[in-house]
Amino acid sequence: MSFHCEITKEKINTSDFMIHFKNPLHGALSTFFGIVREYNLGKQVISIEYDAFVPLTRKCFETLCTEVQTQWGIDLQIIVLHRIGRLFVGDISVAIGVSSMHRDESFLASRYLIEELKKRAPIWKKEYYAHGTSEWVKGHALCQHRP
Amino acid sequence: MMMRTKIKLFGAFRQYGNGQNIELDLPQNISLTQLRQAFIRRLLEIDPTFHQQELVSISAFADENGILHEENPVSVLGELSILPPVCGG
Repeated sequence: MSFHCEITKEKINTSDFMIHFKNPLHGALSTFFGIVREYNLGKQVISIEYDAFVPLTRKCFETLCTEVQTQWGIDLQIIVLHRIGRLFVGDISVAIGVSSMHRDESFLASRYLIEELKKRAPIWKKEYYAHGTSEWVKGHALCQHRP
Repeated sequence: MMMRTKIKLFGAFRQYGNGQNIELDLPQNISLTQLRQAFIRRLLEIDPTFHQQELVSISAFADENGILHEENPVSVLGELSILPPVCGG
């Protein structure tokens, strides 16, 4: 399986992230970085605290990678990293990279990974605002019915 | 027979108890609905001002292997987690 998934307290560095993609048969690499932004719904954000149920989040990421390889090719190389803990404006919260032989697969797969991750991974974020309050961001209810 | 079960708290539920978990005494093979009711009762004991029953109703319960399904009784007690709506990324 050519994928790597990690939930980390360490800062995500784009240069370090990129050097893992070295497959000479792959002519395309799509990356997505989620970044803490300063304003959300009109409120000035100072920082975000990410919380996760780590064992299940890792399983969720691995399931998503398997789904992607089933859909767009078993040879895809995939890396998914997600930060937990306190992040500040400009910090990278999530990094997704997919390399493939041709561009179409890597574009589609990386988009699928971020969209599904936001709906299915047990991760939560609490925004801390400039005016002193904080709030857990409302999200997607997890599916509780058998597939 | 009742079994002491630890419910790990995440996201918006971390404001309750010690912020890590709360403990419930539960019978075996209860339904998810009964688990939710027991969880709400315990939260009201801990904090009589608790008012997020709606959040409990849309939250999932899970063990380390996966999300518990509405169709099945909750057979494995001991340590569970409550997962409010998610928003990673």
